[in-house]
Amino acid sequence: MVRQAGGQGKLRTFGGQVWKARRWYAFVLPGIVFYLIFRYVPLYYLQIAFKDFRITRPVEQADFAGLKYFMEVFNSVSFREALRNTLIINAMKLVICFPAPILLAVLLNELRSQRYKRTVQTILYLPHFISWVVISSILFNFTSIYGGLFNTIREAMGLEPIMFLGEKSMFRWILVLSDLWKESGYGAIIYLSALTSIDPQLYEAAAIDGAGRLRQFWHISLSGIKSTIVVMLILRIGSMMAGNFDQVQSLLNDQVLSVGDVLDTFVYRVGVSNSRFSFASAAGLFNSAVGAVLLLASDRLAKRLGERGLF
Amino acid sequence: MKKSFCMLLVALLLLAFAPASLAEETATVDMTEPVEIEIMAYFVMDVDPDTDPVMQYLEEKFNVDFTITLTNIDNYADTLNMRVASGDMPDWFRITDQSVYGVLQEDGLLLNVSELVDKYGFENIQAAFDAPNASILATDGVFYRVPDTIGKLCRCIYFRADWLEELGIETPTTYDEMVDALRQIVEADPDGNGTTGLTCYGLWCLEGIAPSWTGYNTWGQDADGNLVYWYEDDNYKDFLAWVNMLYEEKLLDNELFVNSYETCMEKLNTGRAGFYMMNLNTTWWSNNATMLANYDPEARLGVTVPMLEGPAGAYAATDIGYYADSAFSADMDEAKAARILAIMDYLLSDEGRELTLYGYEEGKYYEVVDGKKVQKEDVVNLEWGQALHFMGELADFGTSDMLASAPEVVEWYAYLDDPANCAPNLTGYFYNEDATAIWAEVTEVATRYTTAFVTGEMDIETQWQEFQDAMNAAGLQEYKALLKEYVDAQGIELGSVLS
Repeated sequence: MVRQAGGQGKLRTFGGQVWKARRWYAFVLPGIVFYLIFRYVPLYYLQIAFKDFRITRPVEQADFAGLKYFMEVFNSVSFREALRNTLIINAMKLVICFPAPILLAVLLNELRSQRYKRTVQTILYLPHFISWVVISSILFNFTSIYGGLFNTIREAMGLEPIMFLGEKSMFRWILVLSDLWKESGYGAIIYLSALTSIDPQLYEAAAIDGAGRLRQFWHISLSGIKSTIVVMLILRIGSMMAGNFDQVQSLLNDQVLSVGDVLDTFVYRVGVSNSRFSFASAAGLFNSAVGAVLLLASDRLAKRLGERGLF
Repeated sequence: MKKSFCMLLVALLLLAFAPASLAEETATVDMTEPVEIEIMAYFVMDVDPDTDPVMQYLEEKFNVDFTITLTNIDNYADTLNMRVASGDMPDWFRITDQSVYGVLQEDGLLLNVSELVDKYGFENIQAAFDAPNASILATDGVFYRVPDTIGKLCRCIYFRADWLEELGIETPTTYDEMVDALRQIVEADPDGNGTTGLTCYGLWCLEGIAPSWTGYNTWGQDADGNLVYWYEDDNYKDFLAWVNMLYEEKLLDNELFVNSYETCMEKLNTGRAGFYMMNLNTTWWSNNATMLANYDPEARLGVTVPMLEGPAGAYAATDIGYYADSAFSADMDEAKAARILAIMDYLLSDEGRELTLYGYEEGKYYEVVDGKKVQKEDVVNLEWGQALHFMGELADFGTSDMLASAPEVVEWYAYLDDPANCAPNLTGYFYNEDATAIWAEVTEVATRYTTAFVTGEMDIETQWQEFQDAMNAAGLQEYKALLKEYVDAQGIELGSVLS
């Protein structure tokens, strides 16, 4: 209980505080309930990874298997390859796709015409709402060696057609660049909102002091959204083990398994599709555990560098 | 003497009345009380029992109220697994995955269908049990599911007959002749759209002709009775080398690993492929012929019936002949279970099959031409999504074979009727928990190597042994031991490996 100084002099219990802010609590309650049901309650079933689980029996009745399924995962023919591909593809996306929304947001922020800005913004974030199944269909057509747009251009330039989706040297780039196209516009929204919160007088003052556009960008824009960038970077590093299942599953084919298969598609193909739920759970738990370690490590590193971090 | 005569008379009397007394022993399904039945399956479109005439007919006939839960085929297994895991099993559902069947049957969650078929005398279901190879679907001689045949659904080779005619090419009878035809077609590009020769979707699709190199489908037996996986067989290696040759010469669609069956159909039927390996039955023939006619009314489709001759003969790669059988929850009272089986039995009868092909009202889904029912394809496809009603597919997909009228399809069905023309894979229903884990690993290895051999990324001659070693390291020999036990227990006869 906290005795509030001044004011009405009444005792303010926790319950009292909640009652006072009841509308705000009611506002976040659905989100809290959602996370409780779909994020926290399922944690109980992580035990599937340590048991000989069968769908026909409650998990409590399943025999304890220890680390058996983890060993199966690690010894699986394709596991190391999937792990390597996951890290490489996510590293590529970190380097290429992470800065893109920031740059996009800064460029959009420079637009003076609000109408034009809104139009461009809408066009840029529309791809986010297209499903990967549709995009993969478009990509199949564009990259086809039989009359696809890209190969038609290549042939017009006197070059040989390339089977892009079957070419090992190209496949990861297709994943990265298609992700760049799809998500950059939507990802820029967060940075745009951070940019709009910067006081415009700072720009005026900088201009008066003789700072050019680049200097203003570096010292005002970038500094202003630095904490947002750090938070997003921490989250991005924390999801380095995630494979964007929808994208890869839609585009993956047997020719490029060795370079395109990621942990999510590996788990689905080798585990879930064969009804090996304990195997799939073990792989998923490993994935999540490594992701959590990366998240905490990057958060700590950010704090060491003087930023606020996530936690 | 007198005593013996009396004994004989009694015996004769007993024999005479035995059928009658046996018949009296079968129970009758009580239909007085209405029953709610939930069916879970996958289908091409939604089915509303409140508006669908066939569903309503069945509801009235059997005094039931259907609830239908449908997914598309890709999501079906996951959805069923979720329902089972949550303890909310549907009353009547299809099983597409043997691992799911295995755990459900082992844990007593599936209705003992054999028991009720005996008790209530469901003759049509019994006939399904007695059909060729159906015994493989039983467990220790007991059926926990009703076999659902796929009819004559099997891969064949479609081709542009008008192109062959235009180029003066005889319809090939061997694969060598087909290669010559492919070369000429690719060179000539008759429609000017950049043709690819032979198109298909993945190596699996093309393996429909592999038995013409090996003499068997997927699993064979050598002279000593040992199981041989065709990826171990040098004859299959020759097949792969042949496929690689087609790939390198661009006679085979280089996008085969990226294609879906829809894109292949599109390529064949828009002048971008000359040959296509695909399932042939009434539905698929009709789909392809219609698509091609829309593209070019002058174009003509052909199919390679009989199958082309390869080094080991001419074979159509068939399967066990069953898929997605109906199973029923054990968690319901006998009256309800009997009602469901009564419906299934009816659907497997001649009258039931006719209902699912033509409906029950003349003029709506069919018309009578020369005394014979002819389906109104446009109406049926629009309302049912395909030529066979949902309940028909649930009971027996093979019913749709009754609609065969195109000469090519009729000829294909007649060809498949002769077992000498078929190379079946009878191991498709094998399930063993340990084997599943091993097979997942073997498949991972096999996919990588066979794909690389087809594209030329790996050299089939110098790296074939490496492939064998990798499969063995993944557990192939252990898998074979488990499969052998199953094959012996089921009395399955596999094709012979050619020396």
